[in-house]
Amino acid sequence: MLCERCKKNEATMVLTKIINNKKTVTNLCAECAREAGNTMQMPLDGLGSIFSGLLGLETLWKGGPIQSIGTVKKCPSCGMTKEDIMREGKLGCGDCYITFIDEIRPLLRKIHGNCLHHGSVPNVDEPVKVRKEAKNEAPEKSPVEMLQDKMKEAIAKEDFETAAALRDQIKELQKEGM
Amino acid sequence: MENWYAETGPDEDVVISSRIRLARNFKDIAFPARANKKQQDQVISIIKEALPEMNCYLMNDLPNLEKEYLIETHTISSDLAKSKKNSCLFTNDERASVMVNEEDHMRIQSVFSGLRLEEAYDDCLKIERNNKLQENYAFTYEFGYLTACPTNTGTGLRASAMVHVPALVISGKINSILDSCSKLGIAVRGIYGENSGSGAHMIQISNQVTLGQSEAEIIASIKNIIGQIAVLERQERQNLLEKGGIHFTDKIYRALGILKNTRCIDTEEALKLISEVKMGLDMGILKGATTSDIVTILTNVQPACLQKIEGRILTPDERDEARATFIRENIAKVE
Repeated sequence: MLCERCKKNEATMVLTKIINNKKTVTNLCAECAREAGNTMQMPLDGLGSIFSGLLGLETLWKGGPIQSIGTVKKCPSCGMTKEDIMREGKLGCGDCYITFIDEIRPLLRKIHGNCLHHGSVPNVDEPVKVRKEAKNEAPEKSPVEMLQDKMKEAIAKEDFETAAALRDQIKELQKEGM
Repeated sequence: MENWYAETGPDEDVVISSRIRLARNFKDIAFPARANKKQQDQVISIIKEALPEMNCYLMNDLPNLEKEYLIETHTISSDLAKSKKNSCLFTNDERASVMVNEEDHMRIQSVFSGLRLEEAYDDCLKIERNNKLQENYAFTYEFGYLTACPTNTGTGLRASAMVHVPALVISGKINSILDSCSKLGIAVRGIYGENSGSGAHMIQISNQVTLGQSEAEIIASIKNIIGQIAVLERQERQNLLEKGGIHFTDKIYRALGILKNTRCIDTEEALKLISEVKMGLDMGILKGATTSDIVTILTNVQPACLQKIEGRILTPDERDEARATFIRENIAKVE
Protein backbone atom coordinates (compact mmCIF):
# COMPACT_ATOMS: atom_id res chain seq x y z
CA MET A 1 0.00 0.00 0.00
CA LEU A 2 1.24 3.50 -0.82
CA CYS A 3 1.58 6.19 1.81
CA GLU A 4 -1.70 8.12 1.96
CA ARG A 5 0.12 11.41 2.53
CA CYS A 6 2.93 11.57 -0.05
CA LYS A 7 1.50 8.79 -2.26
CA LYS A 8 5.07 7.91 -3.27
CA ASN A 9 6.57 5.55 -0.73
CA GLU A 10 5.34 2.22 0.59
CA ALA A 11 3.28 2.72 3.78
CA THR A 12 4.99 1.02 6.70
CA MET A 13 3.25 2.70 9.65
CA VAL A 14 -0.37 3.13 10.63
CA LEU A 15 -1.17 6.44 12.32
CA THR A 16 -4.21 6.20 14.57
CA LYS A 17 -5.64 9.46 15.86
CA ILE A 18 -8.50 9.72 18.27
CA ILE A 19 -9.82 13.28 18.25
CA ASN A 20 -13.04 14.03 20.11
CA ASN A 21 -13.73 10.30 20.28
CA LYS A 22 -13.46 10.05 16.51
CA LYS A 23 -10.86 7.57 15.33
CA THR A 24 -9.00 8.09 12.07
CA VAL A 25 -6.53 5.63 10.63
CA THR A 26 -3.88 6.72 8.12
CA ASN A 27 -1.27 4.55 6.43
CA LEU A 28 2.02 6.42 6.20
CA CYS A 29 5.56 5.84 5.05
CA ALA A 30 8.36 6.22 7.61
CA GLU A 31 9.18 9.70 6.28
CA CYS A 32 5.65 11.08 6.58
CA ALA A 33 5.14 9.38 9.92
CA ARG A 34 8.23 11.21 11.16
CA GLU A 35 6.89 14.51 9.86
CA ALA A 36 3.55 13.81 11.49
CA GLY A 37 5.58 13.26 14.64
CA ASN A 38 7.25 16.70 14.15
CA THR A 39 3.95 18.49 13.94
CA MET A 40 3.02 16.88 17.19
CA GLN A 41 5.99 18.64 18.79
CA MET A 42 7.47 15.56 20.25
CA PRO A 43 11.03 15.60 21.49
CA LEU A 44 13.09 14.48 18.52
CA ASP A 45 16.59 14.20 19.83
CA GLY A 46 17.76 11.20 17.89
CA LEU A 47 16.62 8.02 16.31
CA GLY A 48 15.29 6.27 19.37
CA SER A 49 13.00 9.01 20.52
CA ILE A 50 11.37 9.34 17.11
CA PHE A 51 10.04 5.86 17.48
CA SER A 52 9.53 5.84 21.17
CA GLY A 53 7.62 9.06 20.59
CA LEU A 54 5.56 7.56 17.82
CA LEU A 55 5.02 4.39 19.75
CA GLY A 56 4.61 5.99 23.14
CA LEU A 57 0.99 6.71 22.26
CA GLU A 58 -0.22 9.25 24.81
CA THR A 59 0.72 12.76 23.88
CA LEU A 60 -0.89 16.14 23.43
CA TRP A 61 -1.48 17.96 20.19
CA LYS A 62 -0.30 21.52 20.40
CA GLY A 63 -3.41 23.37 21.48
CA GLY A 64 -5.72 20.68 20.17
CA PRO A 65 -8.17 18.50 22.04
CA ILE A 66 -6.44 15.21 21.31
CA GLN A 67 -7.19 12.40 23.68
CA SER A 68 -4.75 9.95 22.34
CA ILE A 69 -2.61 9.51 19.30
CA GLY A 70 -0.51 6.59 18.27
CA THR A 71 0.91 4.54 15.45
CA VAL A 72 0.78 0.83 14.96
CA LYS A 73 4.10 -0.73 14.13
CA LYS A 74 4.10 -2.55 10.82
CA CYS A 75 6.77 -4.89 9.50
CA PRO A 76 8.55 -2.92 6.75
CA SER A 77 8.96 -6.06 4.63
CA CYS A 78 5.60 -7.81 4.80
CA GLY A 79 3.24 -5.30 6.43
CA MET A 80 2.25 -7.51 9.39
CA THR A 81 1.13 -5.65 12.52
CA LYS A 82 1.32 -6.97 16.06
CA GLU A 83 -2.44 -7.52 15.95
CA ASP A 84 -2.09 -9.63 12.76
CA ILE A 85 0.53 -11.78 14.45
CA MET A 86 -1.56 -12.23 17.58
CA ARG A 87 -4.64 -13.09 15.52
CA GLU A 88 -2.91 -15.56 13.21
CA GLY A 89 -0.36 -16.90 15.68
CA LYS A 90 2.21 -16.66 12.91
CA LEU A 91 4.79 -14.22 11.63
CA GLY A 92 4.79 -12.87 8.10
CA CYS A 93 8.48 -12.97 7.23
CA GLY A 94 11.95 -13.19 8.72
CA ASP A 95 12.06 -9.43 9.27
CA CYS A 96 9.03 -9.63 11.59
CA TYR A 97 11.40 -11.18 14.14
CA ILE A 98 13.44 -7.96 14.14
CA THR A 99 10.53 -5.54 13.87
CA PHE A 100 8.64 -7.09 16.76
CA ILE A 101 11.69 -8.23 18.71
CA ASP A 102 10.34 -6.91 22.02
CA GLU A 103 7.19 -8.97 21.63
CA ILE A 104 8.90 -12.02 20.12
CA ARG A 105 11.45 -12.54 22.89
CA PRO A 106 8.94 -13.08 25.72
CA LEU A 107 6.75 -15.14 23.38
CA LEU A 108 9.63 -17.49 22.51
CA ARG A 109 10.61 -17.69 26.16
CA LYS A 110 7.06 -18.73 27.01
CA ILE A 111 6.96 -21.41 24.31
CA HIS A 112 10.47 -22.83 24.60
CA GLY A 113 11.56 -21.83 28.09
CA ASN A 114 14.32 -19.62 26.66
CA CYS A 115 15.00 -17.53 23.59
CA LEU A 116 18.59 -18.17 22.53
CA HIS A 117 19.46 -20.55 19.68
CA HIS A 118 21.91 -23.35 20.47
CA GLY A 119 21.61 -25.37 17.30
CA SER A 120 23.31 -25.50 13.93
CA VAL A 121 24.37 -22.45 11.92
CA PRO A 122 24.19 -22.07 8.14
CA ASN A 123 27.52 -22.34 6.31
CA VAL A 124 29.30 -23.56 9.43
CA ASP A 125 30.45 -27.01 8.44
CA GLU A 126 29.34 -29.68 10.77
CA PRO A 127 29.90 -33.35 10.27
CA VAL A 128 26.89 -35.01 8.66
CA LYS A 129 26.39 -37.00 11.83
CA VAL A 130 24.56 -36.00 14.95
CA ARG A 131 27.23 -35.11 17.42
CA LYS A 132 26.81 -36.25 21.01
CA GLU A 133 28.00 -32.90 22.29
CA ALA A 134 26.90 -30.36 19.79
CA LYS A 135 28.93 -27.23 20.29
CA ASN A 136 28.08 -24.10 18.46
CA GLU A 137 31.16 -23.33 16.42
CA ALA A 138 31.94 -19.70 17.00
CA PRO A 139 31.18 -17.60 13.94
CA GLU A 140 33.93 -15.28 12.77
CA LYS A 141 32.03 -12.33 14.18
CA SER A 142 30.15 -12.24 17.44
CA PRO A 143 26.37 -11.91 17.25
CA VAL A 144 26.66 -8.31 18.46
CA GLU A 145 29.18 -7.45 15.74
CA MET A 146 26.97 -9.02 13.10
CA LEU A 147 24.00 -7.00 14.29
CA GLN A 148 26.08 -3.82 14.42
CA ASP A 149 27.03 -4.35 10.77
CA LYS A 150 23.40 -4.86 9.89
CA MET A 151 22.42 -1.73 11.79
CA LYS A 152 25.02 0.34 9.90
CA GLU A 153 23.63 -1.07 6.66
CA ALA A 154 20.09 -0.15 7.68
CA ILE A 155 21.16 3.40 8.59
CA ALA A 156 22.93 3.78 5.24
CA LYS A 157 19.67 2.72 3.57
CA GLU A 158 17.78 5.18 5.80
CA ASP A 159 15.76 2.27 7.12
CA PHE A 160 15.61 3.72 10.60
CA GLU A 161 12.89 1.45 11.83
CA THR A 162 15.00 -1.65 11.27
CA ALA A 163 18.02 0.18 12.68
CA ALA A 164 16.14 0.99 15.88
CA ALA A 165 14.99 -2.61 16.22
CA LEU A 166 18.55 -3.81 15.69
CA ARG A 167 19.87 -1.34 18.25
CA ASP A 168 17.43 -2.75 20.81
CA GLN A 169 18.51 -6.28 19.93
CA ILE A 170 22.18 -5.34 20.41
CA LYS A 171 21.45 -3.74 23.77
CA GLU A 172 19.62 -6.86 24.90
CA LEU A 173 22.47 -9.11 23.80
CA GLN A 174 25.04 -6.92 25.53
CA LYS A 175 22.96 -7.15 28.69
CA GLU A 176 23.06 -10.94 28.42
CA GLY A 177 26.82 -10.67 28.09
CA MET A 178 27.08 -12.05 24.56
CA MET B 1 10.47 -42.43 -3.64
CA GLU B 2 11.59 -45.31 -1.44
CA ASN B 3 8.95 -46.79 0.84
CA TRP B 4 10.14 -46.64 4.43
CA TYR B 5 7.67 -49.29 5.59
CA ALA B 6 9.04 -52.08 3.42
CA GLU B 7 12.23 -52.47 5.47
CA THR B 8 13.13 -53.65 8.95
CA GLY B 9 14.48 -51.37 11.66
CA PRO B 10 15.70 -51.43 15.28
CA ASP B 11 13.01 -51.75 17.99
CA GLU B 12 10.43 -52.34 15.27
CA ASP B 13 8.26 -54.43 17.63
CA VAL B 14 7.23 -51.11 19.20
CA VAL B 15 8.61 -48.29 17.04
CA ILE B 16 6.98 -48.31 13.59
CA SER B 17 8.81 -45.34 12.13
CA SER B 18 11.08 -42.38 12.90
CA ARG B 19 10.64 -39.05 11.18
CA ILE B 20 12.70 -35.86 11.11
CA ARG B 21 11.36 -32.61 9.75
CA LEU B 22 13.41 -29.44 9.31
CA ALA B 23 11.63 -26.13 8.69
CA ARG B 24 13.60 -23.55 6.69
CA ASN B 25 12.69 -20.21 5.17
CA PHE B 26 14.50 -17.88 2.81
CA LYS B 27 15.44 -14.37 3.82
CA ASP B 28 13.85 -11.37 2.11
CA ILE B 29 10.84 -13.41 0.96
CA ALA B 30 7.57 -13.31 2.93
CA PHE B 31 6.54 -16.63 4.49
CA PRO B 32 4.06 -18.59 2.31
CA ALA B 33 0.85 -17.37 4.00
CA ARG B 34 1.95 -13.79 3.34
CA ALA B 35 3.71 -14.30 0.02
CA ASN B 36 2.32 -13.34 -3.37
CA LYS B 37 2.46 -15.59 -6.42
CA LYS B 38 5.73 -14.06 -7.57
CA GLN B 39 7.42 -14.68 -4.20
CA GLN B 40 6.13 -18.25 -4.10
CA ASP B 41 7.55 -18.83 -7.57
CA GLN B 42 10.82 -17.31 -6.40
CA VAL B 43 10.96 -19.88 -3.56
CA ILE B 44 10.35 -22.72 -6.02
CA SER B 45 13.02 -21.48 -8.40
CA ILE B 46 15.64 -21.17 -5.63
CA ILE B 47 14.98 -24.80 -4.68
CA LYS B 48 14.89 -25.99 -8.29
CA GLU B 49 18.25 -24.40 -8.91
CA ALA B 50 19.77 -25.79 -5.71
CA LEU B 51 18.34 -29.29 -6.11
CA PRO B 52 18.25 -29.97 -9.85
CA GLU B 53 18.18 -33.73 -9.25
CA MET B 54 14.78 -33.55 -7.56
CA ASN B 55 11.39 -33.55 -9.31
CA CYS B 56 8.83 -30.90 -8.46
CA TYR B 57 5.15 -31.85 -8.23
CA LEU B 58 2.72 -28.93 -7.95
CA MET B 59 -0.20 -29.75 -5.66
CA ASN B 60 -2.62 -28.06 -8.08
CA ASP B 61 -1.60 -30.49 -10.82
CA LEU B 62 -1.90 -33.68 -8.74
CA PRO B 63 -5.13 -35.73 -8.83
CA ASN B 64 -6.95 -35.95 -5.48
CA LEU B 65 -6.33 -39.67 -5.14
CA GLU B 66 -2.59 -39.14 -5.50
CA LYS B 67 -2.64 -36.42 -2.83
CA GLU B 68 -4.60 -38.64 -0.43
CA TYR B 69 -2.13 -41.44 -1.07
CA LEU B 70 0.77 -39.12 -0.23
CA ILE B 71 -1.00 -38.10 2.99
CA GLU B 72 -1.65 -41.71 4.00
CA THR B 73 1.98 -42.65 3.46
CA HIS B 74 3.01 -39.55 5.47
CA THR B 75 4.85 -38.04 2.52
CA ILE B 76 2.91 -34.77 2.65
CA SER B 77 0.72 -33.03 5.22
CA SER B 78 -3.00 -32.51 4.64
CA ASP B 79 -2.27 -28.77 4.87
CA LEU B 80 0.00 -28.98 1.86
CA ALA B 81 -2.60 -30.96 -0.12
CA LYS B 82 -5.37 -28.46 0.75
CA SER B 83 -3.26 -25.39 0.10
CA LYS B 84 -4.39 -23.15 -2.74
CA LYS B 85 -0.96 -21.56 -2.74
CA ASN B 86 1.80 -22.49 -5.08
CA SER B 87 2.59 -25.54 -2.97
CA CYS B 88 4.62 -28.45 -4.22
CA LEU B 89 6.56 -31.54 -3.28
CA PHE B 90 10.18 -32.06 -4.27
CA THR B 91 11.14 -35.70 -4.34
CA ASN B 92 13.28 -38.28 -6.13
CA ASP B 93 14.41 -41.88 -5.60
CA GLU B 94 16.06 -40.96 -2.31
CA ARG B 95 14.32 -41.07 1.03
CA ALA B 96 14.19 -37.37 1.93
CA SER B 97 11.64 -35.06 0.34
CA VAL B 98 10.79 -31.37 0.60
CA MET B 99 7.36 -29.81 1.05
CA VAL B 100 7.48 -26.32 -0.43
CA ASN B 101 5.23 -23.34 0.36
CA GLU B 102 3.35 -25.09 3.12
CA GLU B 103 3.53 -23.13 6.39
CA ASP B 104 7.23 -22.50 5.76
CA HIS B 105 9.13 -22.15 2.50
CA MET B 106 10.77 -25.55 2.98
CA ARG B 107 9.95 -28.51 5.14
CA ILE B 108 12.62 -31.11 4.59
CA GLN B 109 11.66 -34.53 5.87
CA SER B 110 12.82 -38.09 6.01
CA VAL B 111 11.19 -41.22 7.43
CA PHE B 112 12.89 -44.48 8.45
CA SER B 113 11.39 -47.66 9.83
CA GLY B 114 12.10 -48.52 13.48
CA LEU B 115 13.91 -46.23 15.91
CA ARG B 116 16.37 -44.44 13.60
CA LEU B 117 16.04 -40.71 14.29
CA GLU B 118 19.75 -40.00 13.75
CA GLU B 119 19.71 -41.64 10.34
CA ALA B 120 16.64 -39.64 9.36
CA TYR B 121 18.34 -36.42 10.56
CA ASP B 122 21.51 -37.15 8.60
CA ASP B 123 19.36 -37.85 5.57
CA CYS B 124 17.63 -34.45 5.89
CA LEU B 125 21.02 -32.72 6.24
CA LYS B 126 22.00 -33.96 2.78
CA ILE B 127 19.43 -31.50 1.44
CA GLU B 128 19.59 -28.90 4.21
CA ARG B 129 23.37 -28.37 3.94
CA ASN B 130 23.14 -27.58 0.21
CA ASN B 131 25.31 -24.48 -0.37
CA LYS B 132 22.84 -22.63 -2.56
CA LEU B 133 20.07 -23.14 -0.03
CA GLN B 134 22.25 -22.20 2.95
CA GLU B 135 23.07 -18.82 1.40
CA ASN B 136 19.40 -17.95 1.50
CA TYR B 137 18.18 -19.16 4.88
CA ALA B 138 16.41 -16.70 7.16
CA PHE B 139 18.58 -17.01 10.25
CA THR B 140 19.78 -14.93 13.20
CA TYR B 141 22.32 -15.97 15.81
CA GLU B 142 19.88 -15.09 18.55
CA PHE B 143 16.80 -16.93 17.28
CA GLY B 144 18.30 -19.49 14.90
CA TYR B 145 16.24 -20.46 11.85
CA LEU B 146 13.22 -18.18 11.52
CA THR B 147 9.90 -19.91 10.94
CA ALA B 148 6.33 -18.75 10.32
CA CYS B 149 5.14 -20.23 13.60
CA PRO B 150 7.18 -19.34 16.70
CA THR B 151 6.74 -22.92 17.94
CA ASN B 152 9.29 -24.02 15.30
CA THR B 153 11.82 -21.20 15.67
CA GLY B 154 15.44 -22.11 16.43
CA THR B 155 16.40 -25.48 15.04
CA GLY B 156 13.16 -25.84 13.05
CA LEU B 157 13.50 -29.48 14.02
CA ARG B 158 10.65 -31.83 14.73
CA ALA B 159 11.78 -35.34 15.67
CA SER B 160 8.93 -37.79 15.92
CA ALA B 161 8.28 -41.49 16.11
CA MET B 162 5.21 -43.60 15.47
CA VAL B 163 4.92 -46.01 18.36
CA HIS B 164 2.74 -49.13 18.52
CA VAL B 165 1.56 -49.55 22.13
CA PRO B 166 -1.41 -51.96 22.22
CA ALA B 167 -0.55 -53.43 25.63
CA LEU B 168 -0.20 -50.02 27.29
CA VAL B 169 -3.53 -48.97 25.73
CA ILE B 170 -5.33 -52.19 26.81
CA SER B 171 -4.00 -51.94 30.38
CA GLY B 172 -4.75 -48.19 30.55
CA LYS B 173 -1.16 -47.44 31.62
CA ILE B 174 -0.70 -45.25 28.57
CA ASN B 175 -2.46 -42.35 30.35
CA SER B 176 0.17 -41.88 33.03
CA ILE B 177 2.86 -42.02 30.33
CA LEU B 178 1.04 -39.35 28.32
CA ASP B 179 0.87 -37.21 31.47
CA SER B 180 4.58 -37.39 32.09
CA CYS B 181 5.29 -36.72 28.40
CA SER B 182 3.35 -33.47 28.51
CA LYS B 183 5.27 -32.42 31.62
CA LEU B 184 8.55 -33.05 29.78
CA GLY B 185 7.54 -30.91 26.82
CA ILE B 186 6.89 -33.91 24.58
CA ALA B 187 3.84 -33.87 22.32
CA VAL B 188 1.73 -37.01 21.85
CA ARG B 189 -0.81 -37.42 19.09
CA GLY B 190 -3.00 -40.14 17.56
CA ILE B 191 -2.05 -41.91 14.37
CA TYR B 192 -2.43 -39.14 11.81
CA GLY B 193 -1.63 -35.94 13.58
CA GLU B 194 -3.92 -34.10 15.93
CA ASN B 195 -7.41 -35.23 16.91
CA SER B 196 -7.32 -38.61 15.25
CA GLY B 197 -8.33 -41.68 17.19
CA SER B 198 -5.62 -44.19 17.81
CA GLY B 199 -7.66 -47.20 16.68
CA ALA B 200 -4.54 -49.06 15.68
CA HIS B 201 -3.00 -48.38 19.10
CA MET B 202 -0.50 -46.02 17.53
CA ILE B 203 0.70 -42.81 19.01
CA GLN B 204 3.06 -40.24 17.63
CA ILE B 205 5.66 -38.80 19.99
CA SER B 206 7.51 -35.59 19.13
CA ASN B 207 9.48 -32.73 20.65
CA GLN B 208 7.76 -29.42 21.35
CA VAL B 209 10.81 -27.33 22.19
CA THR B 210 12.85 -26.29 19.14
CA LEU B 211 14.83 -23.36 20.59
CA GLY B 212 17.62 -23.36 23.17
CA GLN B 213 18.67 -26.97 22.61
CA SER B 214 20.94 -28.34 19.92
CA GLU B 215 19.60 -30.75 17.31
CA ALA B 216 21.56 -33.56 18.95
CA GLU B 217 20.06 -32.81 22.37
CA ILE B 218 16.52 -32.74 21.00
CA ILE B 219 16.99 -36.03 19.15
CA ALA B 220 18.65 -37.67 22.14
CA SER B 221 15.83 -36.71 24.50
CA ILE B 222 13.08 -37.97 22.16
CA LYS B 223 15.04 -41.16 21.57
CA ASN B 224 15.42 -41.66 25.30
CA ILE B 225 11.66 -41.23 25.93
CA ILE B 226 10.78 -43.61 23.12
CA GLY B 227 13.27 -46.17 24.41
CA GLN B 228 11.60 -46.02 27.82
CA ILE B 229 8.12 -46.38 26.32
CA ALA B 230 9.33 -49.41 24.33
CA VAL B 231 10.60 -51.06 27.53
CA LEU B 232 7.29 -50.40 29.31
CA GLU B 233 5.26 -51.70 26.36
CA ARG B 234 7.28 -54.95 26.26
CA GLN B 235 6.85 -55.44 30.02
CA GLU B 236 3.13 -54.84 29.70
CA ARG B 237 2.81 -57.30 26.82
CA GLN B 238 4.48 -59.93 29.01
CA ASN B 239 2.17 -58.98 31.90
CA LEU B 240 -0.92 -59.36 29.74
CA LEU B 241 0.27 -62.75 28.53
CA GLU B 242 0.96 -64.01 32.05
CA LYS B 243 -2.19 -62.62 33.64
CA GLY B 244 -4.54 -63.03 30.68
CA GLY B 245 -3.27 -66.49 29.77
CA ILE B 246 -5.53 -68.26 27.31
CA HIS B 247 -7.85 -65.23 27.04
CA PHE B 248 -5.04 -63.03 25.78
CA THR B 249 -3.87 -65.62 23.24
CA ASP B 250 -7.48 -66.16 22.22
CA LYS B 251 -7.90 -62.44 21.47
CA ILE B 252 -4.95 -62.53 19.11
CA TYR B 253 -6.08 -65.72 17.33
CA ARG B 254 -9.61 -64.30 16.97
CA ALA B 255 -8.21 -61.17 15.34
CA LEU B 256 -6.25 -63.35 12.92
CA GLY B 257 -9.36 -65.50 12.33
CA ILE B 258 -11.45 -62.50 11.31
CA LEU B 259 -8.73 -61.09 9.04
CA LYS B 260 -8.27 -64.45 7.30
CA ASN B 261 -11.98 -64.82 6.63
CA THR B 262 -13.40 -61.33 6.26
CA ARG B 263 -15.26 -60.50 3.03
CA CYS B 264 -15.93 -56.85 3.85
CA ILE B 265 -14.18 -54.68 6.46
CA ASP B 266 -13.87 -50.94 7.19
CA THR B 267 -10.56 -49.17 7.88
CA GLU B 268 -11.05 -48.77 11.61
CA GLU B 269 -11.81 -52.41 12.36
CA ALA B 270 -9.02 -53.52 10.03
CA LEU B 271 -6.44 -51.31 11.76
CA LYS B 272 -7.47 -52.55 15.21
CA LEU B 273 -7.30 -56.23 14.25
CA ILE B 274 -4.04 -55.89 12.31
CA SER B 275 -2.59 -54.14 15.36
CA GLU B 276 -3.48 -57.17 17.52
CA VAL B 277 -1.99 -59.57 14.98
CA LYS B 278 1.16 -57.46 14.89
CA MET B 279 1.45 -57.74 18.68
CA GLY B 280 1.00 -61.52 18.39
CA LEU B 281 3.79 -61.72 15.82
CA ASP B 282 6.11 -59.45 17.81
CA MET B 283 5.58 -61.65 20.91
CA GLY B 284 6.20 -64.88 19.04
CA ILE B 285 2.62 -66.14 19.55
CA LEU B 286 2.02 -65.99 15.80
CA LYS B 287 4.50 -66.82 13.05
CA GLY B 288 4.92 -66.50 9.31
CA ALA B 289 5.31 -62.77 8.70
CA THR B 290 7.79 -60.03 9.55
CA THR B 291 6.96 -56.71 11.19
CA SER B 292 7.56 -54.90 7.90
CA ASP B 293 5.03 -57.25 6.19
CA ILE B 294 2.43 -56.19 8.73
CA VAL B 295 3.31 -52.49 8.57
CA THR B 296 2.97 -52.72 4.79
CA ILE B 297 -0.54 -54.17 5.24
CA LEU B 298 -1.39 -51.51 7.86
CA THR B 299 -0.38 -48.80 5.39
CA ASN B 300 -2.13 -50.28 2.37
CA VAL B 301 -5.57 -50.85 3.93
CA GLN B 302 -6.10 -47.08 4.03
CA PRO B 303 -8.60 -45.79 1.44
CA ALA B 304 -6.28 -44.03 -1.01
CA CYS B 305 -3.51 -46.66 -0.81
CA LEU B 306 -6.09 -49.35 -1.52
CA GLN B 307 -7.47 -47.49 -4.54
CA LYS B 308 -3.95 -47.02 -5.87
CA ILE B 309 -3.36 -50.75 -5.65
CA GLU B 310 -6.71 -51.43 -7.38
CA GLY B 311 -5.86 -48.76 -9.94
CA ARG B 312 -9.26 -47.07 -9.86
CA ILE B 313 -11.63 -44.97 -7.73
CA LEU B 314 -13.79 -47.19 -5.50
CA THR B 315 -17.07 -46.49 -3.70
CA PRO B 316 -16.95 -46.98 0.10
CA ASP B 317 -18.65 -50.42 -0.24
CA GLU B 318 -16.24 -51.49 -2.97
CA ARG B 319 -13.36 -50.33 -0.77
CA ASP B 320 -14.48 -52.47 2.17
CA GLU B 321 -14.63 -55.48 -0.14
CA ALA B 322 -11.27 -54.74 -1.78
CA ARG B 323 -9.73 -54.20 1.66
CA ALA B 324 -10.99 -57.61 2.84
CA THR B 325 -9.57 -59.30 -0.25
CA PHE B 326 -6.23 -57.52 0.11
CA ILE B 327 -5.94 -58.49 3.78
CA ARG B 328 -6.91 -62.15 3.18
CA GLU B 329 -4.29 -62.47 0.46
CA ASN B 330 -1.53 -60.85 2.47
CA ILE B 331 -2.22 -62.38 5.87
CA ALA B 332 -2.67 -65.96 4.62
CA LYS B 333 0.90 -66.91 5.54
CA VAL B 334 0.47 -65.91 9.20
CA GLU B 335 -0.28 -68.80 11.57
